[in-house]
Amino acid sequence: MSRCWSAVPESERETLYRRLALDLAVDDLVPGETAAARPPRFDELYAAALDPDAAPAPSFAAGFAAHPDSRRVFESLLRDTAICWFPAAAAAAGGDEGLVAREEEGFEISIRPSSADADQVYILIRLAEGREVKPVALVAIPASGAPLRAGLPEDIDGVYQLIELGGSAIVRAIRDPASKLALV
Amino acid sequence: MRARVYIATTEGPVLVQRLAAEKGLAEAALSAVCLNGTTTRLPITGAYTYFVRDHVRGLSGQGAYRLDLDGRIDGGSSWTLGVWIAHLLLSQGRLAMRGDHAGTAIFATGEVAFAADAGRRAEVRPVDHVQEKAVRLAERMREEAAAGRRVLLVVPAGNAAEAERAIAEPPKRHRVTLHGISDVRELPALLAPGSAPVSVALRKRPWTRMVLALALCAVAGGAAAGYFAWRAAERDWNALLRAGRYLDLAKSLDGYSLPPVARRYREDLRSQLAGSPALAPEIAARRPEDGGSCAGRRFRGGGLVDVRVAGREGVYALDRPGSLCGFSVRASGDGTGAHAWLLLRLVSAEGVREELLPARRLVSGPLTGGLPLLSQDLPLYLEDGWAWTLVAVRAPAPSADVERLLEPGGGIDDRAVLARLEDFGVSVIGARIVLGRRADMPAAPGG
Repeated sequence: MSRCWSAVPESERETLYRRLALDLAVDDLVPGETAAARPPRFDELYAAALDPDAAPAPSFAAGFAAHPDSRRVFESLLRDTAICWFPAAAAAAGGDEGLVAREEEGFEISIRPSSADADQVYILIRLAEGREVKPVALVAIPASGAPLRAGLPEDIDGVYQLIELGGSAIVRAIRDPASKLALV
Repeated sequence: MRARVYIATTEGPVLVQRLAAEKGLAEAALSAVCLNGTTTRLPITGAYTYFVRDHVRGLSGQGAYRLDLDGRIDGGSSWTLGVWIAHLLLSQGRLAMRGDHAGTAIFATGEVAFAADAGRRAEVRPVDHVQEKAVRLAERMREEAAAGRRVLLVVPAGNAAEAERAIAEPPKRHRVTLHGISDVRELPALLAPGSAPVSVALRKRPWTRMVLALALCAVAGGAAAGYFAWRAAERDWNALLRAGRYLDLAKSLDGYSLPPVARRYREDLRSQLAGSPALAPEIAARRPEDGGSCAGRRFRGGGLVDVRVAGREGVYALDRPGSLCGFSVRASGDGTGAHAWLLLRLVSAEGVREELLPARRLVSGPLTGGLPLLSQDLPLYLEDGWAWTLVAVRAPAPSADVERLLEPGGGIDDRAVLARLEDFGVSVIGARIVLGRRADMPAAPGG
């Protein structure tokens, strides 16, 4: 029996995506296959964007960087499904160190330096008031390179707190006006 | 003179390494608890944030702090007394942090919470597992005392007797002063440099001496009757021991009318059981025998091999996730006919379905022949940081009591409850199994 994708209920789609991803990801691991430069498949992009259990294969980053279409599909997926989507900021935004905060649809992502440890910063994500759906991860799409993902802890009165090194990739991505962010 | 602060946990003392007002979090009135000065944020951060808002802000005027600990505390509220002491010392400029010279070492466990009275004073409430925590402090206390520091153990007044029992021998040898308190307002005087250590020290219970005196009189007056009563009780206790009814045995001994007799029985038992081999679980990573990836094995064929993983400070790190198909835990055989239980609890694997990784698994069996073996398959997608806690219990005989204690909610922290049964030859070992190269991560105590 076959079913049209559009006929699959929303509640089943994620399960099917995961099964599909598990089966197809094995293809990468079969000896003899050179998967380094191939574009990521849709299921891989979907998992990297939205599946909290996903661990992209090592070849994912190279494929993502080498194929601009992958970036477009990935962004489109996030833009359509994320709880909040943060597009690239205006080029002139931010100071020498880049942006320290971004705000969209009532959500705010800000970077605060730690006074206790000069090497570390706090990423604070403040939820828009009245939003019942809570994000589980912050996804960043740098201007170049593979996407980054940081799982979110439980919020404290509507604020999520991450602690990162000031020079970490995800902090650099938030500071860079050219990168795009999503809360999923 | 500065003082350093340790929080007593069921896994041993956790040192307050650094405590500082955090301007970066002041606007949001958030605080953070981190491990070893790293960016690893401990799960008690949320509770600590509320603790600072409720209790510390009134002390210092600051509403956001960064606290660094040298070990994990993942939950509970018994860390609050130690943290309160650290804040009090910080406000007085007397908290010893990394590299600071300290003249005093303070060990503490207890819950600080608002009393129900109109004054909303901060009272110190009793907590669980104080005896086990105090026992686990002994080595560090000895080191601190040997370094010439004044050593204080601060517990809730309601736990003081329990703590006293646990450190019954060390205080005199190692100059540990035990304090039971019921209100945080007692702390400034207690922690003042050069304060008299007996000001709020635990009072000896007079009934202990009375019972002992009565027991001696009874023994002197009716030696024969006492002897037979003792023998009868001993038979009952031995029957309970053989049946693995350790909780009933502990209850019977605790409530026995002649405490010296019960104590003697415990001591005899302890000497008989001295030298019993400790349970040493073996953790092995399960990998394809050809060294390839786990996911591709169904195409390549071939079997799996178990590769033993060396633990470090109770943490077993499983690396190379691509070739990791699962892991196994095996109880080591000691040929004594003892019984073992292996309880594996998943503590961190966000979003993974229960059918892939069960939250809890328990196996048990005798430590002869086919040894208890617990195998855990892993899904193809893994993430660093997934973690399990392993509780391994060894007892002289099969025991429904141990089974019951290992059930969910059977003892809040199973290891702590079981540790009280060590006199009867029940030994408990805790370990942590983590995915990723995190061998330096210490085991997670329940604070």
